[in-house]
Amino acid sequence: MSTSETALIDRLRAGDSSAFRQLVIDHQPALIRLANTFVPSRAVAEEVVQETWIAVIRGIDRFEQRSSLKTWIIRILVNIARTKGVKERRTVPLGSLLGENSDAAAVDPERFTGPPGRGGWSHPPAPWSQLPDEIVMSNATISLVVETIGKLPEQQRLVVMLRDVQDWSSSDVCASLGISESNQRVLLHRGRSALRQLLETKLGVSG
Amino acid sequence: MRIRRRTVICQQWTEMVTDYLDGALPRGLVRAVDRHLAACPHCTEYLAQIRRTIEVTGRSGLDDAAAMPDDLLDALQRAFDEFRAEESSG
Repeated sequence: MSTSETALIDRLRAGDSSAFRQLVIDHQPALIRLANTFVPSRAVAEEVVQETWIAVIRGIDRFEQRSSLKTWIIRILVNIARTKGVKERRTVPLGSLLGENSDAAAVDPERFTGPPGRGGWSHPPAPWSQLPDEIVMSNATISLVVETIGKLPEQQRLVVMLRDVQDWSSSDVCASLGISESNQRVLLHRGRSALRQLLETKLGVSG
Repeated sequence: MRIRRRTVICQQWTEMVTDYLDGALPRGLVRAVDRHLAACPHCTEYLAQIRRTIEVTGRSGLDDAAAMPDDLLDALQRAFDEFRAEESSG
């Protein structure tokens, strides 16, 4: 916990309205993006974030500072978003992590030849990594990626959002979601592997 | 002392890539991966694709970072003020 963060929390508890306003301005975009991954529409995502701020207002006195303020806010948002998202998507408890796709392969095993799990490529990745940004980062590609992130199992989606969209450190993600480093990496691995496959299918130059 | 060189096969590499990028692989395995990558253009392309995938994913939310409308911000600030006022008045 940094001293500036402790000072900020003190200001919030003392009722410093401008400190609260700045807190909202600083965190709102990231919270909206995160909420968007749980709920189907932007409008519902905004509702989730509003409720999160209300919970922050009501809870700041009880915040025990065992995590960073950001982590604490994210945890509140995750809980609210899950409650709302549950109507739209089938969700699993945050604790039961590896139930989803835990044994799925990063690449279809049919693309390898040799002993199971230790094969060499028989259908190697169709190259696309050297394609120019105009193609790889095109709006069409990005919307496809966004759509696919939305379809990932919830835990994978969360970890991909936090690590790769919002650029959080692995330890911040683990603290916010209450998962171990290795579980977090498994989830990230599944999510990234699925997205890579999607991009290969879309962009890969065959032959 | 007998030194056994570990080897990494293509399919194993596709399951290690995230640990590799996160610095979570043991050193011996990192060396084995690096030897494999030096010899296998497909796995090198695979790594480049994963890196590029991370890059594309990172761009996916950029245009979505809409600022909060002022009226909502004002409403939240009022909610904050009211709650703090109630708290301090007991």
